[in-house]
Amino acid sequence: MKKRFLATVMAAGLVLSMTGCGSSQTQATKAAETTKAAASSEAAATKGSEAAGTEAAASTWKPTTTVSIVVPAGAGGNTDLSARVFAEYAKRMTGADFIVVNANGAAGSVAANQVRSAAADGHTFLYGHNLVNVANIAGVTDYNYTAFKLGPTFALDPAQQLYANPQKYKTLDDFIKAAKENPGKLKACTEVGAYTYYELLAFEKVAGIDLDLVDVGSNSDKVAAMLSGQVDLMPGAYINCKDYLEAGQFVCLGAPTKERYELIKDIPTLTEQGVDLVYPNCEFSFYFPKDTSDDVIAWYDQLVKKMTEDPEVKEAIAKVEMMPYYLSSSDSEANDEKIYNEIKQIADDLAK
Amino acid sequence: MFIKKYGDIIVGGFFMILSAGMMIMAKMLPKSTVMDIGPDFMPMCIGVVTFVLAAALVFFNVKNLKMRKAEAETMVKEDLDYKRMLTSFMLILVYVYLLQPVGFIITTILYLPFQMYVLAPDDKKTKKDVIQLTVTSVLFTFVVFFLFRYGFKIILPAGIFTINL
Amino acid sequence: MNALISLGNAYARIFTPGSLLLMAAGVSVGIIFGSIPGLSASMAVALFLPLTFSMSPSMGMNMLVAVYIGGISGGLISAILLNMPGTASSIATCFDGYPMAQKGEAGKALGFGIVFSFLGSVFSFIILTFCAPMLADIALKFTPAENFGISFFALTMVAVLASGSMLKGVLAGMLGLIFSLVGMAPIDGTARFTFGSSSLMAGYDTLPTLIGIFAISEILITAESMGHGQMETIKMKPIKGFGFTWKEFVYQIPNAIRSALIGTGIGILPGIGGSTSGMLAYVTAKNMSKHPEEFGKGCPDGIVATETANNATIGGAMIPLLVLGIPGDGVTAMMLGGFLIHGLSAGPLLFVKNADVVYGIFAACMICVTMMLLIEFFGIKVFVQLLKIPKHILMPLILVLCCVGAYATNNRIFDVQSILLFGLVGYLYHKFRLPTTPFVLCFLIGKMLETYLRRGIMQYKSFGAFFQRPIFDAFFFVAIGVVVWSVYKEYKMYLSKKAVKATEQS
Repeated sequence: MKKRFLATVMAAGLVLSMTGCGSSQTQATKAAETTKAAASSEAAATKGSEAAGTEAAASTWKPTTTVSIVVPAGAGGNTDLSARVFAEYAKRMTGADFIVVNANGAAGSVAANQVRSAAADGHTFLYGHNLVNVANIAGVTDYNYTAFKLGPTFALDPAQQLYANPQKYKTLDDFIKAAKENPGKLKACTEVGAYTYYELLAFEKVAGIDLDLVDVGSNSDKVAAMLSGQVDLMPGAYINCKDYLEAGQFVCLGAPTKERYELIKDIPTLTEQGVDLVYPNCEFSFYFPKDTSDDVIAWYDQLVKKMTEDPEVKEAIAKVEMMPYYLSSSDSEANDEKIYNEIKQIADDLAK
Repeated sequence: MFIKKYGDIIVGGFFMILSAGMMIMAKMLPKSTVMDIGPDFMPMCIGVVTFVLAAALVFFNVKNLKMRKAEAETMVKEDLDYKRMLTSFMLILVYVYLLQPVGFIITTILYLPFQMYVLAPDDKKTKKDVIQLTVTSVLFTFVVFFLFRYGFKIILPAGIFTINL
Repeated sequence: MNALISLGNAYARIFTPGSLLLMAAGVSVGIIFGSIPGLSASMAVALFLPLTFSMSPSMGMNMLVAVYIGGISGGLISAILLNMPGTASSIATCFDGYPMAQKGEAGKALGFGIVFSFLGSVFSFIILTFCAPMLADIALKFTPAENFGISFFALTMVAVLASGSMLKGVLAGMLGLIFSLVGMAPIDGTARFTFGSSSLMAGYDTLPTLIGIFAISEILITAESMGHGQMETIKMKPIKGFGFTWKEFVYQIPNAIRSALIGTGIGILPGIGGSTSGMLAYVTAKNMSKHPEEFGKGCPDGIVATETANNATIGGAMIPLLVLGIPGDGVTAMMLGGFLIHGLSAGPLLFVKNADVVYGIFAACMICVTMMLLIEFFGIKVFVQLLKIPKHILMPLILVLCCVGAYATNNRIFDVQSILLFGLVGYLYHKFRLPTTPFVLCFLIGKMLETYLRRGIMQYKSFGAFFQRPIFDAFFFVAIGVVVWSVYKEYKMYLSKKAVKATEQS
């Protein structure tokens, strides 16, 4: 009896000391953070007063507990990685705790539903690039971005580029020629009703070819399918494909962007090569529950603006092969509307 | 006793109804737009197999019914405490449904002593034991809450009291 | 030769007190997460991922590996002591581990589990370190057709598991398949059997289901059996060392080798999750054993098979991750994220550009698994004390932890509510004497089965095309063979039972 009591006390002590470590760490960083934050907020204040068109009033809100960033994707994808970069640096810059919650499944609707039913106190938000809109267009959900209150946009990943096997097709022209000679035979991988699905449909239409769209699963499954030669074409984000590109296992046929981004400057755009397709980029924004107060949104606006101008943050984002990209919350909302309409247009054209 | 005699027939009957229902619902699913076999394929396959097997189970058991009845009579009667089981189940049910609205700390502090008391063998229900249970429960609840909140960053439902420390 | 030099360098670099301490901490936390029924190894890795941000890339990855190893092996502790698997990979450890504990041989069961977990990991790490590139290409040969073949093969194992009462066993499994259908259908995303509920759109998650079927039903069953009013305390036999003799060890070696191969193989295949490796090794061991009827009654072979396989999966899963950049399961997907965040290459260039990190991981694997062995060895005495806590106190505490774990899977209360549903299912299964193992196996495989079948047909245009692929043929026909043989065996058993009854009555 006594031994057991002693054991429980020791165990409780161990546990409490662990929590003590955890909280003291946040306290220590908080102390460091407050001095750093004071310095940087001064700088931001002067900068803010200089620039026009930015959120003028300083927000009175602050997170009081851990903030959950709900990500509608699994670990290792571009959404998840940029969210983690945000979480890490937001933590360093504000002292508040930010964690990433992976809630993938059901075309992103698991994550979206979670955030929709969460408390609108600014401690839970959805972080993604239009999965909300695509899911609606694909008929998975009956709501789109309007069911949320948009926060700022943080990062940008150029529209997913088209990758192919270099041993079969060296350039975009090679591929299109082969596709025209074998209508419906060349396989392109995607997930039905997802962002890349509409991208491929648009590509087919503009290039005048007929591909065989197969569902192979998520990013890693697509890479595996490409490496084993099961599919001929894969739309992919740069970070997930750059190593294969460098190793010569993939060739990039082109990027469906308006102009070449610095990040992928060696990859020609589709437009340059005569295929006039510009597809919405992956612009990662924050989606808050509908009733969130403007104060909360303003705080995040300021934070993201500050972060996208911070050199350390910029370096971290560059490390995951993305670009910092700030849009205020009102601009983000307009942007979402634009992208929603673009993709809807593609879907409607297909239905005709 | 009842279950020993008719158990398998009940199981078979249940599965027959379930698989029939599933097949009916599967037929109502929209056909797939992208490929030949749609979302109704797998449910139909499973439904058919289940139905056939369940029917076979019922059939074999009806055939052996007399023999099983006789067997069951000779088996030892188990002394099962259904009261404890049902009370525990109700406690867990209430706990699980109240967890989000009321919050983790309160529901757990209430649930634990009750459940421990219910599960305790009859000779361990003295006042001294009850106090020991309650103390353990309170200690445990707070340890788990803080450990998970600050150590593991898993936020448990705060419910009506938002504890911000 | 070069490889050995790099490996040596890696070891030298890791042997600093700071990094050793960090890895030991990682392994310990992993074991704790793995042993608590509500928490899992992947939760632990998810927790540590942000922590690795502030470390050097190599140290960060080594930490994740440490947590992974600890997490997978920790599952055996609660499986043996409480009849609740701590992680999905240790489900089959319950079948023989718990009966052994009931007989007072908990220490011996733990000893077997720990030592063979260690050996399984070491086996797969040796293969990882020296043969990774060759084996990674095998991973690429498995298209959806082959993955369907393996899933189908795994499914037929249900028939083997259910031998003795095959009809009921297969029916029990069918319910598992039915539950796996709930949610969005693969490929076209149609909502199936969701009755309008948005929470059901993603289907039932694995962890809450397992917690419900094993942990909650165990609590209900314990409650039911308290009718005696008395607490039975089981006398624990004291053990020396790991609890088993050299002779017993040698006897298990063929079993261990076979299970390690199964575990590593399943780990290498990115399409098949690691949670099935333990069960498949168990079933294979039972099938190929000279005394299959002892499985489930406290036969160490069962523990050895499961634990060797599930730990061997760790090394196997890292092969496609490190060589091709393709993660094999949830945990390796997070490790991939870890690579990318630190700016390391993923895929073919990892060995070229960041070879030091790779060799660091190889070295860390070996060191961490040795730490796991030592920590768990000294821990046996502590773990066994758990059994001394009266059940009426321990069970509710475990239930709360299970609820916390279920909630933490997806941050929604629906998962906590589904553990109750599955607890009820588990309890009713017990009452109607249906085996729960087929249910679990089918539930785990169900989604994979349908997804790969439909993806395969989408790609190859017809099911017939599958048969042109030799690997698929191999698995498919072996599976059919297993089913036919099992049914035949079952029928013979049925006939002989009838004959015995006939002679009894005459």
